[in-house]
Amino acid sequence: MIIADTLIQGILLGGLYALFATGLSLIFGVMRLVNLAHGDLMVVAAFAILIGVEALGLPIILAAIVAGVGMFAFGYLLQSLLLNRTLGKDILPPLLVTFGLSIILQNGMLEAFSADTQRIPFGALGGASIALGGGLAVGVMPLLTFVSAVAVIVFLNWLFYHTETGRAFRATSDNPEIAQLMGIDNSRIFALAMALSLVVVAIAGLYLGARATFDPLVGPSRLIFAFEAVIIGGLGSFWGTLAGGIILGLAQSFGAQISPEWQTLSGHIVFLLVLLVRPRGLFPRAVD
Amino acid sequence: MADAAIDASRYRVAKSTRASIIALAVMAVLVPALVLAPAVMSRSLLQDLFFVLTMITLAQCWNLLAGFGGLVSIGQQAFVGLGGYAGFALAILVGFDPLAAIACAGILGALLALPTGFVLFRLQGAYFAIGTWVAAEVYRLSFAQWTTLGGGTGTSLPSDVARGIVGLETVATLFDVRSSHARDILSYWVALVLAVAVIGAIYAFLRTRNGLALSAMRDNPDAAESVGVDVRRVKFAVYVFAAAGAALTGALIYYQKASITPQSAFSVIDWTAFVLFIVVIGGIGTLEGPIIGALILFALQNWLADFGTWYLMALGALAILVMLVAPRGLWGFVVERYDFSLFPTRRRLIGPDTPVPDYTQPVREMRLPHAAGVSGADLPLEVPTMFDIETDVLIVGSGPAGVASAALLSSYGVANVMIEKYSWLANMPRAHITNQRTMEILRELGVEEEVYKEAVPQELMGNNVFCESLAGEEVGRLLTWGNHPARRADYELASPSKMVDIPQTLLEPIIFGKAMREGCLVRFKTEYLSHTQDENGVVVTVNDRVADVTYRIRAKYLIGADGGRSQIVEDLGLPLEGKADLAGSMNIEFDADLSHLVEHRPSVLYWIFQPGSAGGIGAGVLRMIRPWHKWLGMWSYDIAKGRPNYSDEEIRQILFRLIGEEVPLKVTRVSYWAVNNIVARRYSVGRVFCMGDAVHRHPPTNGLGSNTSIQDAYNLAWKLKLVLDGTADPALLDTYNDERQPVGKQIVNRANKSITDTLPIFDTLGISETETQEEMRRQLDTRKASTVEAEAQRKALNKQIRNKSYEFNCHGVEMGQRYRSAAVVPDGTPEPEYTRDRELYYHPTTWPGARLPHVWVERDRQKLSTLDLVGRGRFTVLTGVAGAGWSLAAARVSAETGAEVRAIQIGPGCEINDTFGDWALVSEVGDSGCVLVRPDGYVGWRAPMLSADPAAELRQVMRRILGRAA
Amino acid sequence: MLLEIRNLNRAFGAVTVADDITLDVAEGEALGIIGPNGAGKSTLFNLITGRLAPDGGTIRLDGTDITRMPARRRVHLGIGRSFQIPQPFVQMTTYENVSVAACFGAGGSERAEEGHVVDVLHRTGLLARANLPAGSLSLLERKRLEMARALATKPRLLLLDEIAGGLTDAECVSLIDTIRQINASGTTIVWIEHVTHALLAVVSRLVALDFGKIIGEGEPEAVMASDAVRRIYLGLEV
Repeated sequence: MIIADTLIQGILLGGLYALFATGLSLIFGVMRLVNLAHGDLMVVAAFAILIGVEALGLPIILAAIVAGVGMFAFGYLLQSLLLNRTLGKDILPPLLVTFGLSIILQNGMLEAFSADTQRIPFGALGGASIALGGGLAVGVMPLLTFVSAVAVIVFLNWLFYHTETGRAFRATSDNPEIAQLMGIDNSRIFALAMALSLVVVAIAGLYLGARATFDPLVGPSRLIFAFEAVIIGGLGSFWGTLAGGIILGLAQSFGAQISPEWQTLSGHIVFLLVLLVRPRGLFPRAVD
Repeated sequence: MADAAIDASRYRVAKSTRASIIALAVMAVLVPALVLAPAVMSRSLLQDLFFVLTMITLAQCWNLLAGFGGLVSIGQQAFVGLGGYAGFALAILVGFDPLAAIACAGILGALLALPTGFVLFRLQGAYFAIGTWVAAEVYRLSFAQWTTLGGGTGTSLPSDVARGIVGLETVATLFDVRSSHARDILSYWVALVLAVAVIGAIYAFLRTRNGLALSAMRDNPDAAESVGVDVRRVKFAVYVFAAAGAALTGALIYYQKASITPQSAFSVIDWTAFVLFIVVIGGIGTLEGPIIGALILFALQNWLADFGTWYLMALGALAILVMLVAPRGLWGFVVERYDFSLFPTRRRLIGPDTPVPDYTQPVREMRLPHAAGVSGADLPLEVPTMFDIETDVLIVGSGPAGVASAALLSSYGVANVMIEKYSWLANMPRAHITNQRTMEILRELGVEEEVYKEAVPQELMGNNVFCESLAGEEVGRLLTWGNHPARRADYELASPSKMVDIPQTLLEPIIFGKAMREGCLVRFKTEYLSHTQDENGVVVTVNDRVADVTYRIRAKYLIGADGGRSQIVEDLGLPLEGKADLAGSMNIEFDADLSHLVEHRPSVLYWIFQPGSAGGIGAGVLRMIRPWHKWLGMWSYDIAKGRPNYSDEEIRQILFRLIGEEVPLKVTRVSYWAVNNIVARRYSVGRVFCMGDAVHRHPPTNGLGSNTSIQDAYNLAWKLKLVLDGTADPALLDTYNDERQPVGKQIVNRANKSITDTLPIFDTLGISETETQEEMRRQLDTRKASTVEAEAQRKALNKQIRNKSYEFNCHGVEMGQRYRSAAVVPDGTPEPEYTRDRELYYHPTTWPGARLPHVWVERDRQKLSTLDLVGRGRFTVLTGVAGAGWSLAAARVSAETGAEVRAIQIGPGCEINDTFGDWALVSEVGDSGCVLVRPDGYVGWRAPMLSADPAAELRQVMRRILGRAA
Repeated sequence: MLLEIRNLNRAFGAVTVADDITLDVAEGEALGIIGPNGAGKSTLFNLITGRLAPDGGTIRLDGTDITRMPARRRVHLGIGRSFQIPQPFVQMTTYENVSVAACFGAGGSERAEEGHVVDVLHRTGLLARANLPAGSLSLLERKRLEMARALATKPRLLLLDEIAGGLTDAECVSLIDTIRQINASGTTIVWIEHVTHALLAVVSRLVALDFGKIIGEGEPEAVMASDAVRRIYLGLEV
């Protein structure tokens, strides 16, 4: 019983982690950029939705959509004005700049919202669950999270492999110089990718705020989970990221049975094991 | 390429700089001073210094990893925390003296770095960075489980343990302070020793070959492996060292703090963020940077720490700013600006021929595009920058002189680059008459047949009509361009090539194609901006107008063929004589079928006397571009009044006046130009040589413009080749100016004079003052009268029209240039007399300085011109049957001077048969004499007969020509 | 025989990049390798230098079996290699580039190898650029640096990978000169090249590869004229 329950919890948790990780995977795939502020941006999105709901009285869906649009614009601007300038052969500039950004975001949120923990009020939905029979139940929220993760991945796959924009993404990812010669404006593509990534981040922020409490400083740990999910799954495929998220979720779920600290620790250990045995991840697609 | 062995003892490698020696001296004073400082410093200052010193140590370790080794870690806090906890564990649980505990903590850090690195090195780049963070989190969570040391809430160092450190009492007594103060002093000393030791160790490491290995690994791990560097070992070495350093520092810091929690010990902010900021702001990849950065952080901390979150946000923003604007930090700026280094690691090779560059000058990083197939993932995002080009000769301008230079130099094997401001060659069919001398050059290049295919042949060129309009009354006609039977013989005798008419738009691509096939490198839409020259070469700054990028081209010589408004001539300050903008003229290109008007009198030029056309070029002109449907009409305008603004209808009216009837026509382009009478007094300065319209600007009369330009190129090309391959002295290049400038002057004068020769015709016809068609017709009719005045008028007209032969049958000017310069060695004979008008008639001679005369000879039943025997980038000695001595001399001198001198004997039984005996007639030397022909087909010297020592004589002559006469 | 390759095999999934290659290289020889793109020429170099491990077969250097030896040790044994696309250490000076190769490839301290480095720089015509950052070198200079680095490791066998590409005729001539001198001084050379006239000016024996297989071997003219080679060059290359 407990095992089945833990299993389900783990898988559904994996959906959340997959959401965290997909945005990261997207921008790394297209422009080889690791955004150290990724987790903090998720928290920013969560706060944005919270403000929408509490201060502006919007229904959660609307607040989420507004936040999504806002994050899209923010991502586009962030990439075109700031991050595009850091891309290049050296990994230090983007790392440092996004690290600096992370510090700024965290402390900015601390100033604005204090260190109190917050939660996006979903009302009844937040605690509802569906009975599966045999004593098992799945929380509606976690299920919704998982379904959203799958939906996002399906959409991204469609975008990448069946649209003009997606082709531009892939061309730029394979060979930015040749892509440029073919008339693709790399800066625009990157900005678009970042904008897209932040929309996914906004969705992740929504579920972050729904499933658990959050505060301004919780970003980096989410980043680590996202990162671990990407590495475990393997670079270059969104389904791989989902798989990675699920494995991480399972590891944490089982670890949590021991103690709260072991939840995170188990995830780390599984991550390190995968690294030792299969450094390119379990389902790598890209030749990196 | 070097072949002789080199004396390695003349070279040495230096690492120290004057600055570094001074720095060493300063350190020798500063460090002891710092040791003694506790005697005078307050306790809080001591603690501040402690902070600075420990941060410096941490920063140096991180800098070694990331700055020098390229391994960016954001997880060094793993080892700081580890050190802290290890120190506490050893001191509290095992009872070590704190000092020993600190030391052992360092060892433990180093040991644990091995398995940690082993796992983490499976990641690269940014993923390695995050991996280090994960590792740190693992450590944190693990230590948070260790309840013995307080678990998640941490623990503090019992005061008796803290005071148990060796030497505490001694220090307390020495400085007369309380034990906690004494602890601070001891901690401070350890921090000082640690900092100095770490900096010293890193510095020493970087100066050994392992320092080179580290840099190599950072720049390109694959290539490092391929030259034998054990990349894995180097990685581990620096990672372990950095870990040990971090652990030692962590142990020391927490000893001083005397309490520890997992949060604090493994804090990303304190042990990574601040360290990052220190190194980045101070200057990554330098040893001085972290020191400066630590001081700056300390200052900021003091002023702003009260502001909590704002302080951190400001730090974050500052780091971003620095990363974008000055990624090499403060010290990096100093290094770049002043090439100043206190801890220099660069190896400088000092010796003959190894210049040490001025490192403060930006040395352009060349970004070469990778071949497809290599992952372009790490290429910069901006449009690929151009890289500096290096070549032997840079040609600016792709007009006739430019493309001819490119084609000739390329076929001689001289590396050259040609740049052109616009996107293609000539788009206006300005130049067209291509005379025999030019065709001979094209013959040598092998494109003669191609030109004949595209060109209008001589037979269709020569009915030079003078008329009221094309459809109107013809006033006179002159057979031109060698079409008069008597002149035709002159032209045919003079050259194996035929004069033709081919518009510039068709000729340039042919020569350009040849240049490209022979290896010229061309850059279109690349504009010349400026140049500098020194004794080694010329550096030209150019702008690529597509990418809008400015870059430099380095060449040994620069050819300025950039046309009538030459920037290069202006930059050189070449003295120009004459006047510009003497009269204004318009070219109107149009399509119309005029065959019914001209087929019976085919010509390239039709001169139209219309009221208002007398300015400009002398009269109105209809020029055939392509028979008989593409034309160019020329009309004049008053240059004092500026360019007229004619409407389309007015343009058409002008054309109808020229044509004389309203035929269907379509105007394709109108352009304006001015008559100039300018020649440069000097064609060259140093390594820069100007040619073409840049140095001789004149109206198109006489059809000499592009011909002279191409011949300028022909004169210089062989000289450049010989100088570049070391055969000739650069003094040879001065002869270009000596030989071609007089020619330029002559043709400018001739062309301008031809314009003035047209005016008398107007006068004779009495139409120079007429303003309307009716008036003009009445005037023209006067010459049809049977009066005495009319007869005189007819006689005068006849004379003046025939006088135009000086414009259209100027064979002497076209063919008869004779050079006088150091590259022509007189043979002591006087210049042969001109038996006929020297402008109208060509006088073939082998007098040194004249072009070799053409006659037909034969080899193996194949008809050849004497001109085919010479040229092609080499010297030739032509001699007769009795001239074997010259052949031997030529072979010897060839070997001695390195200049190819080919000997050819002409006569019965020789390689070349003098079929008609014409060579014997024109050679002007005996059978045992010789004619030395330069690579441009001009006679450099001749001897009437075999001398006593032909080799000696020939050698002396060659050395003179090559500028090597002692 | 300096290099003996026997039945070397390597495949990437369904793609065979080395198909039963058997080849001998005599000491002091200059051997050329030609073949269309994708024929497996660079792969052969990677197998010889140890960057890639074979699926089967053996490689012996002067009698020693190096088939499983790590790349670094092969460098120490005397195999030097220049890359097709120059890979300079861009932030180090030309001198430092060659010095690191000398110290780690030939084995020795910086001071001990100084003379050797100067000599190599001289022979490859890079002395004048010794103190410039390698990132600022022109294409020809980078290619020379590739050779210089390989030479610095004191190789007995020098593998040149398409070093003449992208050079003008004049640059090519000077490069050929240098290679000839290197060969004349005793270093065995194996040279992959597309610019065939450069190759033919130096090598005494030619090997043609296609689809990982040797399809021709022997006197350069004979190999160039052989049906197999002509089919490939006239068939695949216009």
